[in-house]
Amino acid sequence: MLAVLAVGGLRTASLLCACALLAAGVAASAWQLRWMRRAQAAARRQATEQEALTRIAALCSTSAPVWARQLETARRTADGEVAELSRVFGGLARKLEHALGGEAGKRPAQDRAVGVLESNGAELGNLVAALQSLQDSKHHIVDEIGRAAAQLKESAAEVREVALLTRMVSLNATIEAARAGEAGRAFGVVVADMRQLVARTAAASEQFSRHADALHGLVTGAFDAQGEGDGSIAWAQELVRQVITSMEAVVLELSTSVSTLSQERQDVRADISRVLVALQFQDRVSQILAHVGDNLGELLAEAAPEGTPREPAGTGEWLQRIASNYSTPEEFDNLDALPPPAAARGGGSEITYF
Amino acid sequence: MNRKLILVVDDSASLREVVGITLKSAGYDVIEAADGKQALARLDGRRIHLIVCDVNMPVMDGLSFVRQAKQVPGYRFVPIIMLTTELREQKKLEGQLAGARAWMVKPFRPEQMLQAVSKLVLP
Repeated sequence: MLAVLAVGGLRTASLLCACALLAAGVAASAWQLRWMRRAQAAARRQATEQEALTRIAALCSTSAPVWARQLETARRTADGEVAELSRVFGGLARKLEHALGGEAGKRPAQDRAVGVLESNGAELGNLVAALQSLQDSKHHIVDEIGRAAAQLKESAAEVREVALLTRMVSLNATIEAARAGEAGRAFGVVVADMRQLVARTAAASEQFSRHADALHGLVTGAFDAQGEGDGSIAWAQELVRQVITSMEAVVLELSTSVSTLSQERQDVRADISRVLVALQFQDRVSQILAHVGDNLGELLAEAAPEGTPREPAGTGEWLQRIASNYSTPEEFDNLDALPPPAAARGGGSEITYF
Repeated sequence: MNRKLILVVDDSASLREVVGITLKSAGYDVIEAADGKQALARLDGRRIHLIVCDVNMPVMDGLSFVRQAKQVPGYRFVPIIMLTTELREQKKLEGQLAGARAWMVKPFRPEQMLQAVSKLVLP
């Protein structure tokens, strides 16, 4: 600008040219200053980001092995406990099958018992029908005997009447003989009456004989029926014995099943206890996963702190911070730089009474 | 038969189920709550003979519930068993100070749970 004034003097054109140059210089300086500020801000931002990345990298390198072990513990716990549950349930199924007699190709005891009961019911039904028939037959025989007895009574009454008449005729003949003396005409009448009486007595005797025969036949029939009854009773006794034998077999089988169930019950109870312990794995896995989730939230907060910037956490402080909500023994075990412990811990529990 | 009622408080549904199966098999009646706030709502005048409570729960944790339950008229002397994975002595001490009667670490065996319950349950 001074060079322009020296060459051109204090003329208007020279003054305008000098002012233009001055303005250009000021603008260039302002632009340069602004550029430098932007460059400085970018450098600071880059440094901050680099610092954050370095811090995150340090925390990640510290945390990642712990979280990896936590996740591995959760995975192995779930896997191991599910396998244990599967084994226990398989054992339970086998024990129940054995206790209930449900081997392949073999009917369950209760089915066999029902079959035997149905069969025995049919057999006993036949027995009842046979006994009913025998009873009907005996009733018929008794009725026939009753009728025959009545007829015998009638015949006996007739014989008694004949005897009475014979006695009276004999008496009359005696009287007439005494009165007539030699007169023999009366004896002819008496003899005729005597002949009649003899004929009637003979007929009655024959009738009586026939009834006796009938009675004999009936008695024989009754005896025969009694013989059949004896056979029926023997058959019934044999049938009942068979029924009792088969029922005893069923009862013995059921008793064996009950005994087996009783023995298996203890084992099943122990298995159920193991199942209930194993089912609690879900709670531990859930807690481990929730804590890892909390840890990730902490890491994000550490990487991009809100509000007043704070001093970056050291790795020791960081581990203490992420472990502050750990509760399961597996989680504390995983804090050490050691191989993961056996995932599932047995069913042992501590209890403290206050 | 006058059956005894036990309140089971745990945010894990499966744990509530396991504890419920264990207690019901021994003849107890069971009601459930998923956190301390729900559990407080269960203290509505009914007779409860024992409470089994987790420690770490959302909404209201177990120790806070115990402290507040002890302030509810009629429930001050109901025995409480803390059922937790917590092994830290500090937490156990907090449970004792809050008024719990026992501290049981999960996983538990059913017979252990029943032994503790029968020892503490109200007559």
